[in-house]
Amino acid sequence: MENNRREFIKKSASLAVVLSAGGITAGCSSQVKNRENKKAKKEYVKDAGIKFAFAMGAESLKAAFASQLAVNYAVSGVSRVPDVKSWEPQTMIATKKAFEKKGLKWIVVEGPPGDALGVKTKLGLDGRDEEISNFITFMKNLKQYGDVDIICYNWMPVIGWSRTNKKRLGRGNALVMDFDNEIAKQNPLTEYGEVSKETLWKNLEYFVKAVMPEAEKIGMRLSMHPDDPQVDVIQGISRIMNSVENFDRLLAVYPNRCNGVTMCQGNFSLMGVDIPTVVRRWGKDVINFVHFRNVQDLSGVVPSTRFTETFHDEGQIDMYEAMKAYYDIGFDGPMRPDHVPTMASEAEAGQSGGYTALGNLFAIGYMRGLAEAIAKSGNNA
Amino acid sequence: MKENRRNFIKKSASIAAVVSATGLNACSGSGKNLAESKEEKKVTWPVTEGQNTPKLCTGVGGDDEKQLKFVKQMGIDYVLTGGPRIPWKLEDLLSIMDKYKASGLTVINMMIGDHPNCIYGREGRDEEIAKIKESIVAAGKAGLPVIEYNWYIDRLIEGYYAKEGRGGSGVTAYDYSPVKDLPPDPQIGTYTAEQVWDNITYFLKAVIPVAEQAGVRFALHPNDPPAAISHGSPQIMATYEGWKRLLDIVKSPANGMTYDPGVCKEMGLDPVEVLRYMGSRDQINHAHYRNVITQIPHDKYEEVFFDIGEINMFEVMKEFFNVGYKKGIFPEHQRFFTRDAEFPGYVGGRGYPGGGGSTGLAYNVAYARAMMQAAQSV
Repeated sequence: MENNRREFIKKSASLAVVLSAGGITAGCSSQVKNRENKKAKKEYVKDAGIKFAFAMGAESLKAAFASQLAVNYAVSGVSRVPDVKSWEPQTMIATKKAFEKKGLKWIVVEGPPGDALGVKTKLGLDGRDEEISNFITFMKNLKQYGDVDIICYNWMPVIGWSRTNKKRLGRGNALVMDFDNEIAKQNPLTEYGEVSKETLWKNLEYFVKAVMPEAEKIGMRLSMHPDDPQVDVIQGISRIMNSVENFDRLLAVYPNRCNGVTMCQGNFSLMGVDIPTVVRRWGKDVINFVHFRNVQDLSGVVPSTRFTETFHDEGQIDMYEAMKAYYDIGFDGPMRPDHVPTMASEAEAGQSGGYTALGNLFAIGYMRGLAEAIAKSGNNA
Repeated sequence: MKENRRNFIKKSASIAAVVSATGLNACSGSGKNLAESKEEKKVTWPVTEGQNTPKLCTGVGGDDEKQLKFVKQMGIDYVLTGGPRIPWKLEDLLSIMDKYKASGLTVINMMIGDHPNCIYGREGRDEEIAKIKESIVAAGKAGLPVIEYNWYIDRLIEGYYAKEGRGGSGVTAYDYSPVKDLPPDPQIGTYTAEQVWDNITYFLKAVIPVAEQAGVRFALHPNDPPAAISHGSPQIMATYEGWKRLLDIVKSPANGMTYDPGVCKEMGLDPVEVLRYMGSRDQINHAHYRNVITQIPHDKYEEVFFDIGEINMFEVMKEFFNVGYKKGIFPEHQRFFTRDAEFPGYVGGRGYPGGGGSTGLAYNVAYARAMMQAAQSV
């Protein structure tokens, strides 16, 4: 079965386009049909049982109006306490308390601190084992003192998330972000020179084998975010978390709920993957966190080498089928709108960057409408 | 790009076999196989409005360019606005419509007014009717499809008050009991229901034939708040029987109403059934889209966030498509958000107590768009 999948993926760049074009689904066993018929009679739960969240600090604008939007969950890094290490209990306690004061539940750490998971681990440099030991302590204290059981991380050392234009004019002159590899290719190598995929795999496997058993023991779920952008190499540093095949390989290194995936729709779609299909394929034991956003490829190839971010209701991903897929697999974890266009008043006030408030509100309105339509299908007014 | 994808899908029957043979297939709730899905899949993304779908719209008026850009950012291409003083002149209508066109917006509906003598059945109503006929002809020439109007003796807006909603947002609440005995305005007096019916019949029999001729449709908004008696006079458009009677005065698509599920629920009606009744007669010429919680039909209710009201908003949206409704849907009566205090000057239209503001409007529009794309996808 596995071999068939890998060959299929290698041969089918064009098929990926087919899959991504129309949310095409395939035939179903009767067993699954029965399960899904039972699901269709589920009692209605707000937001289809999914925990809508914002990436926000406790002091941000979004925190102030999240409760008006019935968004009760926060995704963030840890807030630093002076003279306290990022992995020590005080850090977790302080972060959790700050959110509680705003009536919010801290639910995901997105972006563990650099001294717990950084270049040393990802590139296998001196001091790696100490860093990994910090990470293990971080996990334990986060679970125990922060009451957070999901850590969203990535394997993009040195150059992380990147765009070539952060202020493109989108619909109605809202500001959106785009990426063009032709432009990015011109950037120089970093101090680390060329880093091969083999190196990254070796270091990732080392990390996984060291931390996953500990995560499993304490009920912590790690959540690997795909490379953004999902190109092959950026400024000499290779990228490996940029295909379903590679994610399958990661999952196989330690097959357990603690070894999971952030379903960042934008990145996976730009790899040429059909989102509803891959959501159903992996299910909720693999997918523990969702970035629900839309994108539009501009390059005509997969994986995309040029793309733009869009409003949630425009773009190439079938957002309805995607939300339906999360509902059907029984996903009840955190989901956040991820990158949004900068709208109106905020653009005029000089804001940008994909995390502004009005765009986030628009995204939540949209997600809520979709979730409700799906969860209420067939019930009477 | 879309065309390439469609051609590719049509050609690739063999792909279906490949997909089902490997582990990359998946199960849809409907159990369709890949080949069937290709033909039956109704939409490719992004899902857009078209000639045969309803169109999201919002109210504008006196807005500057940046506000109009905000409308476009929300993904809205159609607007409604107040018309000029009657009689409307073709060049004035064109100038208004061109102004919005320059911002990529099409005017879908203008409100007409200045006809109190028609409403009260007073001397001077024939002159008003003549001006309105002239306005209709101009609207037809300008390509304006819908003229909206109201028929209130004296609207009971005094019944509205603000309440606090979740997180400090605003709720627009209505209670009849403190305002039910408000006296009539001495300048207006009181009317019986039959007097009001006579006046509206006289009006419609005069203007609807002109509208039919001009290719323009009328949309009468129901009485809202739907109080039985307002300032001493009954409200003929505050009962379902009243609406049905109105639509029968002239049985023509040009004689239509604004459908509002919120008002339906305020009156204890089934919004989907009403939509079906009016829509199947092709007498819905404009629509609002909002949600409420009703404590006492006609007398006590709250206008709330769409996601916590009593109406199943998805069933309503699907019914728009079921009846083949192709005109505007306005997700109005937004909740007030405290954020608007920080970004003044972006007001999304008149606000009722506990409502108004661009933040709430953006939320409503996004929710309505999702409902529409979902209805187009099932």
